[in-house]
Formats: sequence, structure tokens, C-alpha cells
Amino acid sequence: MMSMKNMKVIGMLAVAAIFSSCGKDFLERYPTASVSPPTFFTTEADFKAYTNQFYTFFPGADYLYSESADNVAKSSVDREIAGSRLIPLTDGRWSFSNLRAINFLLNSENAKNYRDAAVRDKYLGLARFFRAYFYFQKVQYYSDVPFYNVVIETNDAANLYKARDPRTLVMDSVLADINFAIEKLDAAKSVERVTKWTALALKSRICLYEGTWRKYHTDMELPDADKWLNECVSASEQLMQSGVYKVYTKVDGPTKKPYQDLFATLKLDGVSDEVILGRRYSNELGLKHNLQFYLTARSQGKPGLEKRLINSYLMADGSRFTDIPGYDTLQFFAEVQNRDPRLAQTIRTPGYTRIGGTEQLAPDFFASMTGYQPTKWMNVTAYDGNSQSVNDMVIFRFGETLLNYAEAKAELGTITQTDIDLSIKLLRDRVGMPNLNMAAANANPDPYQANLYTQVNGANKGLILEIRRERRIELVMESNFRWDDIMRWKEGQLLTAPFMGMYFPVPAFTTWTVMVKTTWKSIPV
Amino acid sequence: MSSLLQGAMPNLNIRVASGTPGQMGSLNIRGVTSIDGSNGGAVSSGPLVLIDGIPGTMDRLNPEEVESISILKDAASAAIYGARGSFGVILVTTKSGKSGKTVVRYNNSFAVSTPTVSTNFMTKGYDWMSLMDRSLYYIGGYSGYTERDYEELLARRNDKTEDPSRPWVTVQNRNGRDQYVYYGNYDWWDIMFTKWQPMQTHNLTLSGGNDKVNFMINGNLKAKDGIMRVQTDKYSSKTVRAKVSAQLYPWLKVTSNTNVYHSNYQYYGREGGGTANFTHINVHASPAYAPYNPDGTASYISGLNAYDIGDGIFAMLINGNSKGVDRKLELTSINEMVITPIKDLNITANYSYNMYTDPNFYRAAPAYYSLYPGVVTMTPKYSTDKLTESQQFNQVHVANVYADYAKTFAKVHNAKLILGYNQELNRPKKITAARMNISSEDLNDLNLGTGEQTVLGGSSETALMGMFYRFTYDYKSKYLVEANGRFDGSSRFPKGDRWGFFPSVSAGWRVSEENFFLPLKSNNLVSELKLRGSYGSLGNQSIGGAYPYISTMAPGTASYLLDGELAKYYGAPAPVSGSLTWEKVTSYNIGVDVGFLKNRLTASFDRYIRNTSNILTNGIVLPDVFGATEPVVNAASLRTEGFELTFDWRDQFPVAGKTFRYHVGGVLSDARSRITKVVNNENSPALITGLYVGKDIGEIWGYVTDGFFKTDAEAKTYPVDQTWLNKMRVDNNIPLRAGDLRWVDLDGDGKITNGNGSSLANPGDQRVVGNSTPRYQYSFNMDASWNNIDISAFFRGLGKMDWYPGNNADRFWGPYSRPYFSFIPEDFEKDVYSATNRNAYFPNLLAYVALNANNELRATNNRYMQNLAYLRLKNLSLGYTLPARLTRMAKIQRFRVFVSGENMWTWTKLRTKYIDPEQAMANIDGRVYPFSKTYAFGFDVTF
Repeated sequence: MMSMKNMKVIGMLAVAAIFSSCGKDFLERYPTASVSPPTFFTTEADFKAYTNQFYTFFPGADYLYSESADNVAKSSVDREIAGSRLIPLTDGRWSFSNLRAINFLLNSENAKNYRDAAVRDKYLGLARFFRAYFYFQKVQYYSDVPFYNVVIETNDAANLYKARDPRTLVMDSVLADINFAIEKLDAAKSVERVTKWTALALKSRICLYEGTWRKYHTDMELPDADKWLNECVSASEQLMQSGVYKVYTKVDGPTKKPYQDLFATLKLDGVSDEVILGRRYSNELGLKHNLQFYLTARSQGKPGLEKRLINSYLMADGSRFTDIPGYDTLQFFAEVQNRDPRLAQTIRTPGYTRIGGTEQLAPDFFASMTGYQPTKWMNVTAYDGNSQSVNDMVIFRFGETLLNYAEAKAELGTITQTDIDLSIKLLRDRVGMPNLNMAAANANPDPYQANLYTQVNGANKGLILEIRRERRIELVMESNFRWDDIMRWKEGQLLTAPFMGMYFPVPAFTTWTVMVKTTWKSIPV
Repeated sequence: MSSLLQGAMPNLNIRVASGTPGQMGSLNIRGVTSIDGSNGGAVSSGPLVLIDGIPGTMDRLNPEEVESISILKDAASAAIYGARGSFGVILVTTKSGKSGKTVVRYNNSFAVSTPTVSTNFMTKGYDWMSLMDRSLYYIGGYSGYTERDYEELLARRNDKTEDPSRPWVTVQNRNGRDQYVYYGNYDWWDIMFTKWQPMQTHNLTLSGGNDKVNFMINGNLKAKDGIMRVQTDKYSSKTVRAKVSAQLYPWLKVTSNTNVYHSNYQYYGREGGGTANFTHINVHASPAYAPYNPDGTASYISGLNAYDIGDGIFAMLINGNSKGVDRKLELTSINEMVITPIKDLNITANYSYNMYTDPNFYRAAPAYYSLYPGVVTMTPKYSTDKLTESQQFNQVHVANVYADYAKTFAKVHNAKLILGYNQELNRPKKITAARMNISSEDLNDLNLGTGEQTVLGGSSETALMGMFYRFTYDYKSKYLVEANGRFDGSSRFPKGDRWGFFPSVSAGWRVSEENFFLPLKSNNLVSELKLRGSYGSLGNQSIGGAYPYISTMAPGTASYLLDGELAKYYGAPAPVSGSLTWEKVTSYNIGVDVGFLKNRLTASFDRYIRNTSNILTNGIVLPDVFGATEPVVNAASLRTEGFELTFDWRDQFPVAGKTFRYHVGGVLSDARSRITKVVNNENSPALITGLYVGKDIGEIWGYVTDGFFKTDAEAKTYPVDQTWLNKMRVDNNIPLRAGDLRWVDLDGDGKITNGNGSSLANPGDQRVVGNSTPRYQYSFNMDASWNNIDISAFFRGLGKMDWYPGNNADRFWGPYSRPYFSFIPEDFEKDVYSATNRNAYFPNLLAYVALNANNELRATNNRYMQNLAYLRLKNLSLGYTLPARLTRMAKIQRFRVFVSGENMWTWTKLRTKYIDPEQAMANIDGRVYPFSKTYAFGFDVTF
């Protein structure tokens, strides 16, 4: 039995022990589940993990397919197009957080001093690819923007409050960035990782945009339009001559029609002949988008192709639909006969069946404002539900580069029939359309297209109009190209004309008569 | 446990997020405590709950083992509890054994519950379909049903059950193929949910001891069925507490107190069970659609439009393969010794360990349906086969040492001093693992997975340390003063800003002890009068995560596929402020306690002001080119004020020779808050949705309407341009007509707008139209006993709280929000404007106008603002204790039987009877798992 005294001592010791555990360091606690910047970028895995976030800067599927502008009419019109836009206090597009993440890598001492120069440059190239992409978008929205290649601190007033830099300066930096990326990125082909080839495709896109913008926006007095168009030509040529990509012409996809399959296919691997970079989705991993619900449901904007776009599709023999007398009052069945096969691969036309289905389906007028109900990108009905689509989406494809090439050369005035044979012909061959004849086009510019594009002039007027037609048709519902095209061509008036749908010779067409419980009688546009 | 306390004490505010079995309440004392710096939202932090002196969770406590609960609201009384007690302290003491005879007590309760709200929804297929299609008249309709289909629906409109000559499920050729076409009058609510949910509770206590050792063991068991009819969800919990204390020596007493808590919620359907299923069944489950086909397969789509019936929940439930279990396990062990080395000095040292873990699993399995007879297809929505297991493992170590010394001098001076030390270490950790393609339908183990796997972690550590004193002095119990102070340190702050000193003082004067008071006292009019006042400050450190001052690169998983998996990445480090420190909470409290008529009537009143300063908010707004959220700084201030009033009347008198005892009590309390300081931002104008000085917390801005246009002509010629709030109409070329809302042009510019982007300086045509702060909470309780019969009633109420129904408030907006909500109130049609119903509540029927921004009902406005004021009979119980002379023969000390009811009656100002005011308080859309009315009986026996 312990003595009372001993017990007291033990008790006091216990109290003292608790006190002593409160050493000075008790309140020094550091994160247990995240890393600190000074120890980062010391392995290649760090670079790879860090740069993975950059991929999320690419647009999501819902942006990539849901074009509007004057190509696709929907139940509600963007405020920009309706002319009812109020200038907001803030705008999601005026965001610089992606740039901060990019510049953090580019300015990291650890990264700059990384022991393996090849590895380092590859990831710095990747970061500069995304910086070029970032500033290209900013310039598209805002023209002059402040350029930063540093991570701004909270007290860096000079940078925080500096004025916008001129567009020319920003675009020169964009060009320097994308050139660096082309030089340093891997040349191994990949449909999901940014490579040298992705950088070339981006360069082709950027330079065409900037070159035509400068050419047509004469009021802005920007220099060097030709330099940019030439840069576009050289980047496109490098990609075309590399032989890494070709127009996808296989007939092993879901519809056995290569143009339609390029988009309808679930996985990009099958169409990697042409696709340079895409964004993947997966049912298993729950990464899905809303494509097929958007195209089939009655509540998702009811997209329909606009009438003037439909009119722009050529006849299958290469002649112009709009040359047919009374083309504007043809009814649906008649107007879609013997057209460029891409029309029937883009919208529902008579005889349309779903992939995996046999029933012939008419356009659902409750799901499409104009009646020209899009089918591009569509796969089997199982993906029709709300956010149940899983097909991979295309961000860059070789077909666009070919169109960029032809357009840049045409705008420069250096184009030849050979150039067309190297580019547009390939796209036309795929769908069995006759080639574009440069001389014929220039000899007889299409008055219908000329009426759409009022700024086009010069010796190649007829050809440029045809290249624009080709671009519009080939790239419809991809990456919102149409909006950017209208902007760089300075053809904003296209957005002010009323959007039209299918023609119906109903006498009292002036008022809306949508019948809910019976079949439709007229089309709400 | 928390639901029992709801309303019982003034300004102890308890909100329960839903009626889900096992749902815990969130506690708050005296209203808004702080503001969320990032979004300006009000924060109502919880008080520190100390169970036997150790931080604990109220809802894991068994009500039967509680001896007493006391609530410390003002800074002075809470001071010594330090950092986490800045917004009040709740002290819970559990029962202990008493020396003497061993006592065994068993009590139970058997109950059934049913929702407090009406569930009489539209069940006529024709009515529902036609309402939805009409709401989409201009936009293309919903159902895809033809005129012929409508005739079929109409023919069955009055069939309560299926008439064999008019089947509800038909097979017809559509689009070239035979498919099911549905013409039913199904009551999806009854198909999905049960009317009554049984519940039972059992409790057993053993206690006893002698003059050296005493003990108490308490065990409790609860089981409740959830609301799902197909594959019922089941909740159960068990707790055991064992408490032993021994006076080893006259100077040493040791106590060990161990509590084990275990709960289990087993469910089917979507991850999370009842609440998740409950939310998802809310769409596209039209009464016309059959839940299952004649061959027993589930329905999933109608084939005539593209929507998933009831989000496919029924197809998922019917095979029962998608299921989960949420478990919670908590072990608390408190070990304490009290040393008395000399007379009047006690040194108490304790160490406690708390371990909380929640091993959960959820198995997602494919579900199947049939649209074409004989063809069974996997539902696109539920097509994955995946098992997810997750587990938190949280440990808390707390050590306290304090000494108290009390001494009385000259018989009139009473003094007491406490000095102490406290430290706390929290180590939460989490692991989640998931695997696809499990090789068994019934077994659920990650080892059985053959597909994709994902593993996630997460952990942190935080520590607190504090030293405190309390000195109290009173003179003849007449004049009382107390001074407290606490020196606190927290690991959440950088070294230089880590420590804070928080002093407080309080004083009391028992006026009734003064000689001049004797006349009042002697005639028994006023028996007690005490005046109190206190001032104090406390620090709050529970802000901004575990490491708000350290810049780190956090790992993440992107919604982007690379290399066949969701890309793992490290993000850029978020900028942090170099100097962060304690939020400071300063309270002022004055109070008076009075007793009248020999203390038969007692009342107490408190008035308080609580200033929270140094609130962390985003710093000065930087231009967006900064590229990150501005680091938070200690900048804003908030002032909360209110009062509490309590009264009790207690008396007894003989009736028929037996004593009739009764008691009536009531409480009334209030709290409201206002922003008193914010970061001064020159770069960005204050928004009405953001923070600005003078903002009343909870204020709701909105537009003002003065009713419907009376005629089409009036609508056409109304000079004010209101397209800003008529987006659906403008987009679909629907002209304004009689029965559309007319908006008031408050700023007189001829246009309804939000001014300069809803800035405070120019909010356009918006003004404050309500406030969502709950005001004037009150309760009454009455109990009486006579001749072994006891009865008690408890009413609780809320005086005012505004609620603008959220855009998914389906029971409120019906098709004005989504034109496919499943549960539309039966009598909804009477609220829809028409030429013959010009006094309707809602305007012309149009879908999405309550859902999407810039539309008439989505835009918050005065007309549809709801007042959640309510009064509810929370509890009514009646008991009878058998006469002791009878029970003693069976060696039973006491035997009582009772019946009781909870939430049996509710009166409310809320317009709809389909939403409970507490549901609306819990969720902006008011559609959480319903709260219950409960009827119970049971007995209580003591041996």
C-alpha cells in the first residue's frame, strides 16, 4: 500500500506532466494534406500534376456544341444578339485566375532551375501554350488587355492598376508564346494531351483570326495583317506537310458516313486520323454532358439551324441552291433533296433514323425552333436523358486547319487551285462533293453569299465567299466558330436580321398558333 | 436531444435541417454571430457544448441520462471556457450514482410518426398533364400526348382505381413500335412513401453506491423507420454511458466517465437515402405515368417525351441493389482526479479522449426499366456499378488543470479564486475509396471490385491552449462581483498574432436583501429582486479552415479525363494574409430577476448587445487581374442585440383532498443584427447582396408589384417598360395581358431594372421587402399533477420571419417553376389566374417564370413574400403513476404510464399547407424530408 505522501507526489507529478506537454510547439501545426510552394516543382511528377489543371481551361462540351450566333436559333436569344444587353458590373470572362496559375509555374524558381532542361521546357512550353490560348480569348473579347507575365502580389499597385496594353503588343506576346510551345512540346501524337501539333493548330487558328481581324477592321488601323495571315499559312503548312493528320474518311463508325461519324463516335481514338485534341467524357466516371438532351428535349432551348445557313448548302452537284428560282418558298421535303450530303448528316431530313434505330423520324417541332433539327454529334437514344451524353468532344481538328489555310491564302491573294486541292478538296471528297473551282468561283461570285458578307471585295471575292460557305457548313455547331468568324470578318449585320425557320405556305402565318394537344400547324420562330 | 431543447430556453435557437431520422439540430445562442467574409452571408455559430466538462455533441447524448443543462449566454459567465465559448456555452451534466440503495430504472416509448404537412397532391393524370401542357402552351407542351391521348386520360379522370375496361397502362404502336402508353391516376406519394413510421425507444439505468464509491450505467436504444415505402430506410442508435467515481482518500477523488455512441442508418436508392430520394422523386412523376408495367418491370420514360419519370428513382428502388449504410461511432472517455491538499483548495486535473468515426458505404448498382413490352433496358441514369466506402477518423484530446480556493472572511466576505490551464488538440482525418464493377449484387466489399478505383484522403490538425482565472467576491450575498480573464492561443494564426487576452467583469445586487426592502418583502408582494450587469470580451478562432495563414498547394481532382482517369492536379497556392488574428466578441448584458408572492411568480429579463469585431472578410477588392480571391483580413464588425424574458408561475392547492400542483411558464426572446463596419472599398460599389454598413442581416431586396393588369388594354398601354422581369415572355413573344403582374417603377425612369447592377447606390426598382431573420421566438409550457395524474403541454412559436420561396419550391410554385414537378397541391388550379378566376394568387400560367432569373416570380417581390410566423403544440403528454401501495407489492418503487403527442397542432401564417414553416426555415425551397407529428405511449418503471 502506497503511503499517502507518495500518492500526493504522484498526483502532483501527473498534474505537472499535463502542464509539461504544453511545450512551446504545441500550437505550431502545419498542413498535413497539402504541400508548400518552396518544395514543389522538384520532380517531373510535380510538373505533370500541376499542369493537369490547365486542361480544365479548355471549354466544356456544352460550350463546344451549343453554338448560336446566326447558325442556330434557340427559344431564347442571347442578350448580345437581342440588343438588350446591359453592361454588367462584372463578367465571368474578365477573369484572370487561369493566368495566375500559368504564371505561377512560369515564374517558379524551382521550375526555372529544374535539373532536366528538356523536361522543364516541355512543361514551360505547355504553360505558354495555355497563356497564348488565354490571351487569345481575352483579345477576342476585349481587344486591348493588360498583359502580365508575373504573379501579381496584393500590394503591387503598378501592375494591379495599370492601363490596358495595346492589342498589337499582347498579340506579339501570344505569338512568342505559341512559337515557344511549338518548339518545345512533344511531337508524339495524342488526342487528349497538348502536343506540338496542338500548338500548331492553335497557332493556325489564332493567326487567321488576327490577320483577318486586322484586315477588315480598318477603322482600328492595326498593322501587319499580312504578317499574321502568313504566320497562319506557315503553321497550317507545317501541320499539313507533317503527314501526322489527314481527313478522316474511314467507314467503320456508327453511321458509316465519315463526316457524321467524326462527331457521333463515342471515343476520339477511332477518329484520331483527324482529331488533334479533344475533351473526353466517361459514363463510368460520371463525367457527362448535356448534348443529346439539348438536341432532343423540349425544354433546353430547342435549337434549330437558321434558314440562311440551310440555304447556303450547295446542291450535290456543286451548283447553288439559291440559284433555283423560287428556292425560298420550297417546302421542307423539296428543299433538302439532292443537297450537299453534309446537310443530311447535320439535321433531320426525310428518312432520318437514329443510330441503332430503324424508325424514320420527322423533325420534332417542339424540340427545334426552326424545324431544322440538328443531329450533329448525336449517338444512340440511351444518351438522350438530362446530362447523360458521354461522347468525347472535338476541340481541334485537322479539317479546321485546312479551312484556315485556304482562307488565309485567299485573303493574302496568294492562293492557287493547287492550294484548294490540298485543303478544301479533301473535305469535299470525304462527302462526295465536287471540288471547288477557283476560277469559276471568282468569275461568278454568288450573289446570295455576297449579300451576307458585305465586306468582301477584290479579285478573290468569289473564292473567299465560297471558302466562307465551306467553313460555315463544315464547322457548324463546333466551338462557337461562327461568332468569332462574324466578328473577325466585321459582318455583325448578320445578327440583326430576323432568324427564320422552315417555310410553310399557311395563309394566316402572321400569328402564333402552336397546338399543344394536336399536331403542330406552324412554326414558332 | 436538441429537438427536446427547441424553444425551451430563451434565445437558444435550434434549427433542424430536415425530418430525416437521426438528423441533428444546429444550435445557436442569441442570433447571428459573424458574417461569412467571402459571400456576406450570416453565420450563426454554435455554442460550445460541454458534456461533463468536455466538448461534445448534443445530439449524441441520451436525454434520459441528463441531470441538468445550463446555458451561459453572456461573456462574463462564459469567459473561463475560452476560445470556443465566445458564442455561449451549454453545460450538460449527466446523472451520477448516489450513495445508498441500488436503483434500476427502465422506461420506453412506442410511437408512430406522420408528416406535419398535407400530402394531398394531384392524382388525376388528366389534370396534371393538362396543367403542365398549358403552362408550356407557348413553348411546345410537355407530355407529347395527342388529342386522342387526352381523351383517354379524360375518360379515366374519375377512376380512383383501375377499371378493367379502361386500363391505365396500354400498349400502342408509336413511332413504328409497340410501347407502353400510360393513362393512370397514380398517387406517387403513396407509392413512394408510407403514411405512418413506427419508432421505439428503450432506456435502462442502473445506479447506486456507498459513501466511497458510486456508479451509474445507462443504456439507450432507439429505432425508427424512415418514410420510404418501397425498401424502407431504417435508423437506429445505441448509447451506453458508464460513470464511476471513488473517494480513494479524503484528499483524492477519481472519476471515470465513458460514453459509447453508435448509430446506423440503412437505406436504399440514391446516395444519402431518404433525403436524396425525397428530392429526386420531385420531378416528372406524373400521376398519368405508372410506376411499373403490368409485367412488374419499372417505368422510366414515357417514350413520348425525353424525361426520366421521377428521376428514375422508382426503377432504382424496385430492385433494391442500390443501397447504403451510414454509421457513426463515438467513444468518449473522461478521466478526472480532484486533489484537496489543504482545506478549501481543490486541484482538478482531467484528460479526455474523444474518437469519432463514421464508416459509411454506398453501392450504386444499375437499374432497369421497360418501355417496349418484353424489352428490359438499363436506365441511362443509373448504369454504373460502384461501391464507395468512406470513413472519417477524428480524434480530440483535451486536458484541463485548474485550482480553486474559496474562503470566507469575517463571516460576511466570501471570496473564491480559480486559476487554470486548458489545451485541446484536434486531428480529423478522412479516407474515401471507391471501386467500379463489383462482382456480386449483394456483397459489398472493395475486394470484389474489378473496375476503376479511386482513393481520396484528407487530414488536418488544430490546437488550442489557454490560461484563465476567475475571482468572485460577495458581501453577505448582497453585493456580488466577478472578474474573469483568459489568455488564449490558437494554431490557426501566425506566431505573432496567435495570442489574445480576453477579460470580463460582472456585478450583481440583490436589492431584496437590503433593509429598505423589508416592507415589500414582509407583505409577500415582492420576494426577490436582483439586478445584474456584465461586460466581457472573448475571442473566436473557428474561422477559415485549419491553416488560414499558410499558403499551400492543395491537391485536387479535376472534372477532366486524362490517361483514363479524372485528372489529379495541384492548384496554384491561394494568396493568404500575413497577419490574421482572433475575431473579438464583446458582450454587454444587463438583467433583472424578480420573484413575487413568495416566489410563486418569478420572472427574469435580460437585454444584451454583442459586438463581433475583427471579422474575417475579403480584403479591399482588387482588380480582377489579380487573378485570385483577395486574402481575408480581420476587418468587418457586426452588432447583435436582443432580449430575453422568462416567467414562471407555480402554485398548488388541495382538490378533493389531494394536492393539485400546477405550473405555467413562458419565454420570449429576440435577436437582430446589423453590419457596423466593412472594408472600405473604393474600387467596387457596395451591392445590395453584399456587405455594407447599416445592413440588417437577413434583409431581402426585391421588386414591388401592385397586382395584376386588369385588362389587356391596360397591359398594352402601361407606360413602364418591364421587359427586365419578363424574359420568358419576351423570348417567346408572349404579349402582356390581363392577369400578368404589373411592376411599380420605384425610381421613376420608365423602366424596371436593377439599376446599376443592384448596387446600393442605385438598386433600380428594388427595395427591402422582407427580412429572413427569425424574430420574437416564444414558447409556453404548462404542467399540472393531481392524484397521480400528470399532464403537460408545450407550445412553441415564432413571431416573424420572411421567406421568399426558392426557385425549386415545388409545393409553392408548382408549374410556374418547373412544368414537370411531381407533387402539385391538389387544389393548385384555384390559384391560377384565368378570365373566370381574376382574384387568383398567381398570374397567367407560364412555366419557368419562378425558376429562371429575370422573370416575374423568380424575381423576389413583395406579393409572394411569405411570413413563417407559427405557433405549434410541440408536445402534449398525459401520465398516470400507479399508487405506490399497489406497486410496492410487486417490489416496484414507481410505475408510470403515459401517452404523448408531438407537433400535433400547428398554426401558421405561411400560405401553403404543403410546407412546414420549419422546412422553409431549413431550406429555401422548403422541400426537405418532412418533419413529423408523433403519437407515443410507454411506461417507466423503477425498482
